[in-house]
Amino acid sequence: MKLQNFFVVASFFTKINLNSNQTLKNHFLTFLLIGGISFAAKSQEKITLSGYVKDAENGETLIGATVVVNELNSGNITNVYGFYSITIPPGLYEVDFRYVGYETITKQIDLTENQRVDVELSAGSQQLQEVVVSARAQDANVSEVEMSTQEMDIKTIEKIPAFLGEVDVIKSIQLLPGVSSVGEGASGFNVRGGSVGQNLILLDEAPVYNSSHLLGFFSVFNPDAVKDVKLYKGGIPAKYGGRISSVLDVRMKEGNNKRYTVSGGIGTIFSRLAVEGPLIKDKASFIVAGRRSYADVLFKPFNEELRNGAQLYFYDLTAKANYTINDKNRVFLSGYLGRDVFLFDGVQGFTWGNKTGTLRWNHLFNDQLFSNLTLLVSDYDYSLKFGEDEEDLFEWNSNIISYQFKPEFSYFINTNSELTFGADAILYRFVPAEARGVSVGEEINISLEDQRALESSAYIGLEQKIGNLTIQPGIRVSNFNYLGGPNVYTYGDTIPGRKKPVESIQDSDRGEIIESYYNAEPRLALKYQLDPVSSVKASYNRMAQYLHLISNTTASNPLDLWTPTTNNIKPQIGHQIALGYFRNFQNNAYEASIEIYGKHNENQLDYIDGAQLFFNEELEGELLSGTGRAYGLELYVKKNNGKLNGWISYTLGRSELNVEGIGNDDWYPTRFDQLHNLTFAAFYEFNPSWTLSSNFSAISGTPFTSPNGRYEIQGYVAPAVDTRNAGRVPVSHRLDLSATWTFSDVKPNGKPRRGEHSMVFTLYNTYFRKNPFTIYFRQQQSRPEEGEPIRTEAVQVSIFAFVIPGISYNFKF
Amino acid sequence: MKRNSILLLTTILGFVACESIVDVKVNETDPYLVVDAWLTRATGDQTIRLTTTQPYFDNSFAPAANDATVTITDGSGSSYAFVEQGNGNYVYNSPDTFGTVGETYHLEVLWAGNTYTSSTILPRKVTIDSLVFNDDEPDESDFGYYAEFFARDPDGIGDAFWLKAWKNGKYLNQPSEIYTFDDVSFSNDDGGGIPFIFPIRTLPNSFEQDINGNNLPLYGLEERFTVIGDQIVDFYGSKAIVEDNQLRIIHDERQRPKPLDDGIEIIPLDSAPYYLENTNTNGQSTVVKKPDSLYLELHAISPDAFFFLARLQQETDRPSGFGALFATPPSDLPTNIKCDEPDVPVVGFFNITNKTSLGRKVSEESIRINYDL
Repeated sequence: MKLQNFFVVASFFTKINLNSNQTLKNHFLTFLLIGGISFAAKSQEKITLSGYVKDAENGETLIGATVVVNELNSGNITNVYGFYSITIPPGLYEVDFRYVGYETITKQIDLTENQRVDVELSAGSQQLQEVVVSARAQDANVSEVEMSTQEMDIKTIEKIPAFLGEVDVIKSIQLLPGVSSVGEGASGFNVRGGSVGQNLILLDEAPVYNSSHLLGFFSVFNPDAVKDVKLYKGGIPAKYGGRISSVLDVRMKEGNNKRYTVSGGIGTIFSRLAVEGPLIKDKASFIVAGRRSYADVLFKPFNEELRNGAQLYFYDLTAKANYTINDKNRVFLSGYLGRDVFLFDGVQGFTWGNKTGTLRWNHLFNDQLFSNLTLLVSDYDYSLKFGEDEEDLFEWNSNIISYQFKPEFSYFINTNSELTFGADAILYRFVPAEARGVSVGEEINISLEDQRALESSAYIGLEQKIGNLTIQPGIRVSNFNYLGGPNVYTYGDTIPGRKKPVESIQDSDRGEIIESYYNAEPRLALKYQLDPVSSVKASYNRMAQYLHLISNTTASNPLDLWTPTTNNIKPQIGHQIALGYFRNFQNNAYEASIEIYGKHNENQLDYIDGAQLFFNEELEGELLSGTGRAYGLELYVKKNNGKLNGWISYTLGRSELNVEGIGNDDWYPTRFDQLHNLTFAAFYEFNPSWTLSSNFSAISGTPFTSPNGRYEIQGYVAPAVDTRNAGRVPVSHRLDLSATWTFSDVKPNGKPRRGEHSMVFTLYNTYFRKNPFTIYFRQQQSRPEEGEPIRTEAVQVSIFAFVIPGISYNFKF
Repeated sequence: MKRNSILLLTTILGFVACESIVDVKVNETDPYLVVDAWLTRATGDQTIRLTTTQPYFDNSFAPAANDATVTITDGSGSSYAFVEQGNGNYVYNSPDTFGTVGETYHLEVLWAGNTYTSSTILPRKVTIDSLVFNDDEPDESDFGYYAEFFARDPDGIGDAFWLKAWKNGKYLNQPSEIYTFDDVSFSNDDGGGIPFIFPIRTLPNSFEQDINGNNLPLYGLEERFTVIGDQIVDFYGSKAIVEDNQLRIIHDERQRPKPLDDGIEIIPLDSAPYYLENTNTNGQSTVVKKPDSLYLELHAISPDAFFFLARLQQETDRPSGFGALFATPPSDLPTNIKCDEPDVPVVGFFNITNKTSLGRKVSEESIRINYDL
């Protein structure tokens, strides 16, 4: 690879690293001049209070905990590493440390010099249930500048009735406004009319290229190891880039650093086990969590294929360790390994999975400058193998591997200003097909050449409060270099319905830059506080996406192909504007919001009819490029506490494409266009032993493509096809119920019970609804007879026809 | 044989997915011309069929396109006039072998005031070397033997094939039985003359299942089933009743709670592809399944025709149930027919194939045993 490419990023980093505070200040000043924003720069009279906020029980850092200086009625919230920093004039202050569901700690602090205060908060006696939660933390909905974001802690996720009783991160976020999927069994999720491949999914900063197990029935995240999930649907901060639709930021637990705990569950389809504990008390801890499905074992007696050696299972292993070196330095090492296996006789079949590894170093340069340095690797691969012996076989592997280096900095200037900046360099290797075929002992290599690319970016963002107004401007500058190695193709112009003709094929040198793209990605978020309980917010972002997920199937599936931007495929550019009104009621017991959004996307990929996506050196010639648009309205009302809590979410949305060469160049709906999406989730706590949960959703039918005529050729009936996605399946609706029985602390014989135990009973698709997944058209199934015309018919496919019951037992010691 | 991984998914997860035939309103367009012009290098009748499109759910015969003028000309200027014989068929009777390898042929159709044209090149042929029936398992296999044919892809790219199969004289005409491949089945490789690979050699083996999900035999030697009363106790795993000219498979709830949607219930006697005969000797009725035979035609076709057939299969052989997750949405088939009026739609295909053939009956000599005794 080209060293120069790293230089841009490296020099950016070293400059900040090596230079004195004075130069840093100059950097900031330059930025401020550009932004035309003025604020009080750091001065001698100000002093910094900083530290970490943690959970007293297990030492996990708390993300988004609030630190408020009561005298000034201002403060800050902890970042994703649990760190906060507040710079204020010296004095005697009363400082509150607050977090939803935890007891507030108030400290008297005499601030005469920079002071480090680490705080541990205890969970309320009745966690998240009837605890009187602090007003300030719960009004984040209204008071934070962030909009179009959804946060879910793992405790809420655990309460949602889940398919087969298995708690699932991605299924849970699909209950939120603006989030949907094509249907049951489809991989991934869609955000505000965006495609599955336009979501950036991060697991401890590492990109996850396929978020699903068992096609789309489960997600790859093991809930036992997940600490916090945050979804950005719009107003995406400058620190994120690379996908145009959304960012799903999943943070893993660090592991209990006080004592050892073992938790897990035995469920209908898989079992889980997680072990966590201190390596060095209060300094280092670890967590290891694993899952494996055993449907293959359970169904063995009923299925001949399984008895004959077929395998069908998935597993994943999540591990993380951290070490606090001293006050200023902390390191984290985390990894994920997951795999799905479908083999029909022990050798033949297909498998796929993600592997990620992340090494992070949190360093405090001083009380106000927090940094995080990340090195990571992420690898997604799938492989197919057919053939029972070496004489006759077919093997195919495909990979996408990325190596990433990411320095990030937060500079807490004062209680009104925070500056974030950083850089990012990603080296990609794409292996579209590493394949060979052997026929009667004669071998042919049918591999396609690897592709390499380097994506680098740098960003800077500011959050500034000015009275009732908070502004968050930012800019990200990204560069993508498609690197040499494989042959370089150039194509002629698009001819509707035809493959583009190859005009030239040229060799290229390894590492040579074949094509380079630059994009400036401005971001802006605004909040205006109308009164203590309501605010209006607005945001704009421009995003560039250099990787493309190519799929021509009805639903996204694990064999979809990631392909880079090249000299022929342009980067996708997404623009989004969102406006929102946020209002809390009854002392924040209810929070409500209404948001509207509009999106305009450029260089959206589609494909010619009958495109050949695999083993195709000339794939680029079969892709078409067009414009996308999506717009919609989201309503969200949530009740935060009390015996009965939950939310109602409604989305009205449209998602359309306009591609030259498809459907007379008119706008047509995307496969995931859903006009109405209504979701209702409610949790009711009867008593300390029993909790009932339910969710209901009703969603407009998704489009399908239908024929407008038929004709006979060579004894078969072919469809004459209407414009793409012109038909609609009927409405989907479904009710899921679950009941959780938490065992009491005392056994029936009066002795105290060790650990926490619960049973979860679920009913998925309670009223036997056959929700349509798609409708397809075919000629008659039976063998056509001479002298009889061939019948044609429409078939509706439902993935589930019955209620699916589930039961699982969970424990924690 | 187990080439399709999705098949496994479908079987294992099949218990959740569910399908139903539904009434759907679809749009209709005005009918337009369909050209079904598949000729073969041979002597005798060459037939081109002209019809029009019809509404999708119109389950009647395709309407014929009458009063057309159909002509083929070749590079040397020879012209062949096709004569209308009714029902949309236009025929040219060739006294000699029709077609020369490497020659370009032009089709011209004058119909309803428009001129439709197309052209194709006649490809080189490939000979089927041999055909065997494989016995992979020492104990009696429950689905008989599977067929395997051998041929060699010639050097160079651009060779494409359509394998047509007749089982016991019955043309296998289901969408799943469109057997096509090109240059060892991997599009755009360098196609350097190796034997056809295993999945291609075993293409003409399409399982059929009865309503209880039991596999009916692929190819086998003679088998006899004793009829007690009017019943056969074990007809490849199912109970069957002998009726007038047919065998009716009895649904067995223990094997499958609901009959298999596309499973076979009725098997006609004395008729292909299941070659059964009811004999009666000394008052004992016996159903005899005669030794199966397989006849193959390997048609060399143009690369465009290969793409057309592959697409035809994609559009007609739709994955059912859970497999629908992997389906591509329907889209129009390609066509090599052009109308002089660009706004007038036309569909269909013109191609001249170059075929070789081989047929064989299952016998002790044609069975290849693939295990150690």
